Amino acid sequence: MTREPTVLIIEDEPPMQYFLRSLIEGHGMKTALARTAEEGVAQAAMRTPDVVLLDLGLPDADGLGVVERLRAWSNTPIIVISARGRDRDKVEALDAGADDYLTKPFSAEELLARVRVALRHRSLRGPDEGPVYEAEGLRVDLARRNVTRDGANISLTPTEYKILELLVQHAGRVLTHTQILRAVWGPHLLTKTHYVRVHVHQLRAKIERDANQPVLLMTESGVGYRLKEED
Amino acid sequence: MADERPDPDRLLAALRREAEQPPGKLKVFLGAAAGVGKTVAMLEAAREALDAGREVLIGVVETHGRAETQARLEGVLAVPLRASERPGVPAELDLDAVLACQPEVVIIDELAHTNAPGSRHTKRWQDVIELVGHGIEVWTAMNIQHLESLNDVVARLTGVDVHETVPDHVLDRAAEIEIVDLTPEDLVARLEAGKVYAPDQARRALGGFFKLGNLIALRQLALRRAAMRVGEQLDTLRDRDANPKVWAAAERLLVAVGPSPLSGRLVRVASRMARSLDVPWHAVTIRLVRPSSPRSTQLALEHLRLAEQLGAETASLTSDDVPGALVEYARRINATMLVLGAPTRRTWREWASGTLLDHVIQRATDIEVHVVAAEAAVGSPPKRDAPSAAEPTSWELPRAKDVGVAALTAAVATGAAALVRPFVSESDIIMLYVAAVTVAAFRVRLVAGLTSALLSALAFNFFFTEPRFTLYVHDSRYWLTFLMIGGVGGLVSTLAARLREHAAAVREREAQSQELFLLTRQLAGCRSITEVAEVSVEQVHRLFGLPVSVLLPSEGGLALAAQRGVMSNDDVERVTARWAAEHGVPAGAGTGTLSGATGRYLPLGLEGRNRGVVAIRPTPASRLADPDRGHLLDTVVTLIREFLERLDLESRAEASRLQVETERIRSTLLSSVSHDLRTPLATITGAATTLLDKQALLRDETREALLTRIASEALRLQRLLENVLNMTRLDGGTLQPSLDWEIPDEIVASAIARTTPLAHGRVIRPRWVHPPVLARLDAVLVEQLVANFIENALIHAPGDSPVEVTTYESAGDVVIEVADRGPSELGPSPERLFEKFVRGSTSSGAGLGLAICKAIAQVHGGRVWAHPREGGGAVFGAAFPRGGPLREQAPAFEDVLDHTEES
Repeated sequence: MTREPTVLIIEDEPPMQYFLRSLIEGHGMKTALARTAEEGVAQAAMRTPDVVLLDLGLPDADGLGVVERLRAWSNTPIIVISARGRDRDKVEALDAGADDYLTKPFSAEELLARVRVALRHRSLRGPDEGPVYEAEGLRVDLARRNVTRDGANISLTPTEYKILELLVQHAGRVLTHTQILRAVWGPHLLTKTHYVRVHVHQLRAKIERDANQPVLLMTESGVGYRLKEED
Repeated sequence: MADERPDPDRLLAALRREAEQPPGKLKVFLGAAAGVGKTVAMLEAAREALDAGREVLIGVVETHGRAETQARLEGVLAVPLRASERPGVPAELDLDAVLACQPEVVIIDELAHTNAPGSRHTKRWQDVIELVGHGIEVWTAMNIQHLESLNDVVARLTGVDVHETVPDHVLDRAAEIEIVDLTPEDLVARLEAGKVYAPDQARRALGGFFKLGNLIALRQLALRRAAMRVGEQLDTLRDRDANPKVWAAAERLLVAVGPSPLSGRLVRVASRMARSLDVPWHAVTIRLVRPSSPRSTQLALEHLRLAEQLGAETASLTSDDVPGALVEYARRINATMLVLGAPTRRTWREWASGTLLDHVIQRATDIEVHVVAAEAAVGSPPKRDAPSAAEPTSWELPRAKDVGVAALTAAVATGAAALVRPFVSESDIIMLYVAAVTVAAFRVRLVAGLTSALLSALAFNFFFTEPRFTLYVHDSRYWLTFLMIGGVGGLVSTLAARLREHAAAVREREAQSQELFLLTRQLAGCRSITEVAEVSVEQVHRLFGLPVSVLLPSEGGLALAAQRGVMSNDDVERVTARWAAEHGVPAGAGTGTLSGATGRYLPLGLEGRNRGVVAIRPTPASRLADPDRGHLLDTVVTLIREFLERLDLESRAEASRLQVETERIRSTLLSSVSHDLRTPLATITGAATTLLDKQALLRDETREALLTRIASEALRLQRLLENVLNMTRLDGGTLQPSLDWEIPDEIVASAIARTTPLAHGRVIRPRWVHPPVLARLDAVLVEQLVANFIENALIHAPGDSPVEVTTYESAGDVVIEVADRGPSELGPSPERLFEKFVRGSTSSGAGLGLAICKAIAQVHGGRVWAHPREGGGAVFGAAFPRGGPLREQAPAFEDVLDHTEES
């Protein structure tokens, strides 16, 4: 029998904490609770959770600091929860090493999807899902560097392929513009975020059935892109 | 009944006296001479007050080593004197210490005393005024000979010039005057007994100032003054009670002053006349259009200042027609009396055409003219009478250049005459010389013009009169010729000199008004106080060429706002600046207050309204002491002050307008939001309580439906709150768009994805016009705008009609349009739809959605619009400049691809 995964909830508001806890425990996972940043970091060290849910609006410290402190010694997936209108906070948290984000208010469904993706990625960060990604008729074989759409070959430029490869490796998770820039063009072009937009636009035209109404490569306005989870 | 009406001037004066009555009382112990026992009387009064339980403090008392005075000091608290840091400078009253103690009564002896250099004020009476201004009762003592308006009388009576004077207005401020009287005989006896001065000093005093005759006269002056004071107090009472029978017709007195020493006496006489007649009085000086010597201008202005100190209204006029200007001014201010000085010595011109006095009497038929005779007793011998002002300044040694010009013209005339001599008569040669002298005289000053005439006459004599080549004149008729040449030279150069001076004066004045005009225009363009400071500093620096700064009030003091040149900033300067700002009175170098500072500080606000100061650092070479420059500086500072005042008023008006607007928005927002919150909240509460009700038998479908309802209503609340929040942030200007190069199509797709759940199966059809472009946008905000447009369309368009979203580029703008098939009637002015709290007929929102769209477009430098759609429905559109609000150069899509694609 596999061990039940543990989710650490760092959240100061009791109603929210109650909602998160009942939802997660209702889906057969264990929870650990922390009300402050200090307590959260201590719990993360003691309980070695499988996923951390971190509210960015904690009273005693800013969430960004917590992300950085956790990332100093842990690879545990972190999902940050932010209030709407604080887009810059969540992008900073993502660039600092958080794995995904949720904007309040969110539905139970959204939360569970994020946690599921995070758990799937937890053991090994990187191409851990095997060499082949399949969703909505798109098939990406990372081992053979082969991309097909409904059985037909798609020819991608080297840059497009690099981006797609990165997205596949992080399927279901959000990638910020900066993260994509760093991975594809290296660390010296971090202000040229429009490179990413132009190439993603091209990529989308090739892999989507209808690029006007994308279902695979989703835009997260002001944050980055997310490739649909595998079917 | 008409003659029973109170004279408004008198009433106003009474009111002003009351309004100006400071919180602290001033009591003056007035004596006829030193040694009558003022200090003793004051100290006795102090003892009585102490016994009566009042708090009395000694600020400063001069004992002059007298034992009887010393004895009375015992038991009264005294503030130690403030010793000067400089050696040899006597200790002075410690004004700040007294202010800090805030006693009920403070005793300050010797009101006429002049403070040591480095003190805050030049004169002790200024210290007293400041203390009284702080609500402290001051008892002080002075002798009658120190009163400014009696200064000349005392000098005449006793033959001793008194230099330390107290302006009359200080004594006028006294709520109480106590005469300390001693008969002259008793005083002489006291002096002889050595009770006032040491024996040998006393002997000298008795021979000089303290002659019995002097003492009798001084005593009479003091008593008369005190009696006058009682009379005035009676008047004040009468004015207030408005006993109607005693109002006299309004009289007004005007005195004309000039640079002559007689004018000082004139001013004092006029002051005494005005006082005894109880009429307002004015003093005027009339300056000639052509510039007069700085010295005489300064003297005239000093007399004017004296008049001001003695309570006159003053004016300085410029005219070439002195009697005319004088009479005209007298009429203008309704003067009924005119005081003039008698001419002392007539010039030949005055013999011919009459003196100033004659002219004035001729013209001023309806004005009483009082003439004050000159007296050769005081100061330097009086010259001409006052208002004729300036002496011509041309009597100076000829300069080398002038002599050169004179010699050259004489030589040229001689040469020309030699050439034409064979063909012309002698009178023509004389005309040649006259022409040369005229030319020379026109170019040079009087002395040089005369030199030219002399040289020409000599040359004519030497070269052309018989016997030639000698200076011998055999025909006496030639003397007349020489005289005429000289006369022409003198006349022409006098006329030319006057013309030049006139022109220079006009130029100077022209330049000044030009400068002021420039300053006004520059100031008019200022929109903030710091801008005013910058412009002021720049202009004042340009005008005066001196280091200048502007200090504006900041927390707990003054802060430098702008500066040109080097200004020192030590403690003395800071204290002086602050004093000037807080009291609304100029201080520092060249003023009567804190004159030890290197800078002069001119306040920009009035007393109690600290608006900062203009600081200027005069140098010894600067002409700031020159009254013209000083006046210009005052004018400039007044101008700056007025502009600051205007700015202040404007900003206050703006602030209150903003506040009203904010209040209006807040209340509208509150009422509209609370209305819209109520419906979803009611639904949620109802559904949740139904689910909680254990008695209710709910079927699974019902339960499901209720839960769905709760979720959807919560979402609606969420959207509403988001709009309110966004509106507040966009409205408050706190929202800075985070701009990036975005692909508009992508944003639109994202907005469509976000609004699809609200469409309930209706089609939202995007249409882009290729090729794709990059534009400088805030993706989150623009997505919100498109989503709001779509939501609006979904609400207003009927059941199953599609909503179309079109994106294209037009003239450097990215245009996004949302078209529906709803009502095409948008009202007479569709732009009103984008105003806050304007709702469509079927809308349930707070009327904020479109207003937010407008605000979002505006932060991008773009715009929004709405118009009916062809074939029914409406189109809502927004345009954004591709380069963003700063119109940056947008990178081309293909360039990026070419540039970044690995081969």
